[in-house]
Amino acid sequence: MKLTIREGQIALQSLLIMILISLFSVIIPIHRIVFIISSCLLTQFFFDLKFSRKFNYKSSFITSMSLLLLIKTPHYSFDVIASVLAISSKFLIRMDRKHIFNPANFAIVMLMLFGWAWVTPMQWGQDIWVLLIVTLFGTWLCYKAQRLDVPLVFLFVTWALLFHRHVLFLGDPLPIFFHRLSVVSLYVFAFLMISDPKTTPHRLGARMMWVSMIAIMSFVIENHYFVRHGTLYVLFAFAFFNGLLNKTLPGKEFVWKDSAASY
Amino acid sequence: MERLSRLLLIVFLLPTYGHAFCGYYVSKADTKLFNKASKVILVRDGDRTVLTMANDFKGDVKEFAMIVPVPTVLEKEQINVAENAIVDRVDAFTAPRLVEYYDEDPCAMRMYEKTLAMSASGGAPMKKGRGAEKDLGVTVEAQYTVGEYDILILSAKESSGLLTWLKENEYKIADSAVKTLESYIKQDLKFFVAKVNLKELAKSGNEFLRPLQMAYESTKFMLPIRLGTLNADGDQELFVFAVTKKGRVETVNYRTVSIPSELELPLLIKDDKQFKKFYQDMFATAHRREDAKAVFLEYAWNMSWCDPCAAEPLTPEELKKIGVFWMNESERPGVSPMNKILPRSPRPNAPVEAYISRLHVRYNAQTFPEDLRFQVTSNQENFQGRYILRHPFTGKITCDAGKEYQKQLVDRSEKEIANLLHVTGWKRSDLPADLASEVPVTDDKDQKKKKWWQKLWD
Repeated sequence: MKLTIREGQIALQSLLIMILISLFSVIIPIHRIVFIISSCLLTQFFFDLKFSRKFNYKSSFITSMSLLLLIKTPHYSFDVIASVLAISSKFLIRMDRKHIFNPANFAIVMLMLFGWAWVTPMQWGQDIWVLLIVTLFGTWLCYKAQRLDVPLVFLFVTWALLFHRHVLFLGDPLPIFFHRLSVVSLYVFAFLMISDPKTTPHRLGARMMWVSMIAIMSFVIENHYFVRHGTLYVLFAFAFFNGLLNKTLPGKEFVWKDSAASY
Repeated sequence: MERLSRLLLIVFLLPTYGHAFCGYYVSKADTKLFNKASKVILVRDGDRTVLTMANDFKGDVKEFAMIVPVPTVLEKEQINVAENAIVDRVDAFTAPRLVEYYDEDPCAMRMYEKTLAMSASGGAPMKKGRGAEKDLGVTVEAQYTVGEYDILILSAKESSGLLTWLKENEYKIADSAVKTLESYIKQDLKFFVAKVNLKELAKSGNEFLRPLQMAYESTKFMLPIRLGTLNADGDQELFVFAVTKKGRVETVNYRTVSIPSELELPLLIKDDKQFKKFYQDMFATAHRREDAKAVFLEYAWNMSWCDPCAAEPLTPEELKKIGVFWMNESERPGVSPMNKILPRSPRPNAPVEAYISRLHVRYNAQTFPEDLRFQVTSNQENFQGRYILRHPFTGKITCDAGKEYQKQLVDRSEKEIANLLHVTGWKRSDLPADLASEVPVTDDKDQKKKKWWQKLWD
C-alpha cells in the first residue's frame, strides 16, 4: 500500500493520539474528538461549497488531528471555536491566492491569546521511543513533501542555541541540556507543524533563513522574556514574512499531488 | 436547575440525612507522612507572585539557614513571616482523602456515606549561611530582620566569590554548589539568604520556625530546586500549593500527572496506620511507574468549596494570609448561613476567585535536573485524591434483593483487593489472612459453586 503524504500525516497523528491515550493516560474525551473533527469538516464543507470547490476533507481532517494533539480547552465550545477559526483562516486570510497561516497554529494562538486554551508541551514527556517514531516517520513525511530542510534547520538551530545557553554560557551540567532537547513536543512541532509545505517560503534559501529566524526568536522570547510556548507565537507572527519572502525571493510553489486545491 | 434541586434537597432532608451529604472524616494523608518535606505556597496572577516557604527543619535553630535564588532585590515590606498553622490549613484542605460509605439494608435501599481525608506533605528545606562581601564580588543589596529571621539579599558577580562569602559567613554549602550558583548568577538572579535571629526567636516565644513569605513581580514563574539537591542525600519531597485566579497550574518542563484516585479499597485501610502506609506506597509506586520523572497532581479545586472536605475551605482572612492579593475583603468565599449548617457540603454559591493545585514532587539531581517551571492554565476541572471504603450491611437479610447484594459483595471485595494491590505494588500474601472475612458471607460460597441455571430457579 502506498501512502500519500497526507495519509502518512494522518497516520502519524493518529498514532501519536493513541500513544497519548494508551501510554500516557491523557484523557481525550470522545465528545472533544467528535466536536473537533466534525466542526473542522463542516467548516471546510461550507467553504468548499461556497467557493464551488471539491470537498477537501483530508486537509481539514489533518487540521482537526493537529488540534486534538495540541490544544486543551476548558469547554468543548472552545474546541468548536478553534476548529471553525482554523479552517476559516484558510479561506478568509489569504495573500496571493495562498492562505497565510498554518490553520492549527492560527487557531491555537488565537485561543491562547484570549486565555481560552492552553497547550501541554510535556504531555509525551521525554520518552525516547515516541521521539524516535516522530523523528523517523516525520523525516519520511517531510522528505516526501520536499520540506525536510525545515525541521532539520529548526532543530539544528534550536540545539545549537540550547547548547550555547546551557553548556557554554550558564555552565549547567549536561543532563539539563539533554533534558531540554529531548522534549517530544519540540519534534512534533518541527515535523508536523512548522514544516507545512503550504505555509513555508517556496525557495530553499529563503526557507532556511525563515526557519532559522523562527528558531532564534522562539528561543529569545522563551528564555529571555519567559513567554511560554513562544514557538507557537513566533510561527504565527512569521507567517506574515512568508508572502514577502516569496515575492522578493520567488521559488516554485508546492502543490499537493493528491489534491489540486490550495485550501 | 440541578444545583437548585440539590440545594432544596439538602434543606429539606437536613434534620435526618445531614450525614449522608456531609460524610464523616476518617483520616488524611498530610505532608507529615513524608520526611524531608518542604511546602511551598505559590500564589500567582499576571507577573505577581507571593511565595510562602515552610519546611520541617528539626535541628538546632542556630544551624538553620536558607538560600533561595530570587528574581529581584526585595524590599523589607515584600518579606513577611507567616504562621505554620496557615500552611497546615492549606495542606489539610487539599490532602488526599478517605471516604467512607455504609451500605444500608439492601432490602430498604438507602445509603449513608462518610468521608475521611488525608493530606499530603511537602518538600525539602534549603540550608545556608551568611557573611561579608569585600573583594569577593558579592554585594549585600539589602539587610533586614523580619520576625525571627535575619535576611540578606545578595547579588554576586561570580560564583566562587559568592561561595567563599557564604562559607566565611558560616553558611554550610557544598563546594559542588559553585556551578549551580554560577548558573543562577548568569540568569541574573539574586540570593535571598536567611538565618535565625536567636534573640528575636526568644522574644517571639515560638518553638518552631515559621514560614517565610515574599511578594515580588517577575515574568519568571518557576521554583528553584537545584540548590536543594546538592546537600541532599537521596530523594526530597516538595509540595507546591499553587493558587491562581484562572485555574490549574502545571509544570512545563516535567510531565504533570494525576495521582491514582477514586479507588474503592478494602476496609483494612480504615486503620490510620494502614491508610498512611497505603498512601506512601501508592505514591512510591506511581512515582516509580513514571520513571521518577513526573510531578503529581494531588488536588485541583476552586477554594470556596470541597466535596468531601478534608478541612474547611479557607476564610477570606486565611486566603489573604497565604498571599491571595486579589482577594477583596468584601468577597466571602462560601460562608453563607447554609454552609455553616452544612459545612462539608458542596457550595454552589459564589465561587471565590482562587483555584488551588496541589503538586507533589519527589526529586533528586538525576531525575529533576532543572528547576521547576510552571504555567497557569484555564483548566478548572476538579480533581482530588479520593479513596473509598464501603462498609457492607451487617444486619439480617430478609429479601431476595439481599441475596443478590451478598453475591455482589464478594465481587466487590475482590475488586477492592485488586485495586489495592495494583496501586501499591503490595503482594496478596502481605495482606492479613482474614481480609475476606470482612464480607459477611452467608451461603455465597455455595452460590458460587452452582451453575448459573441452578441459581436461576432459586
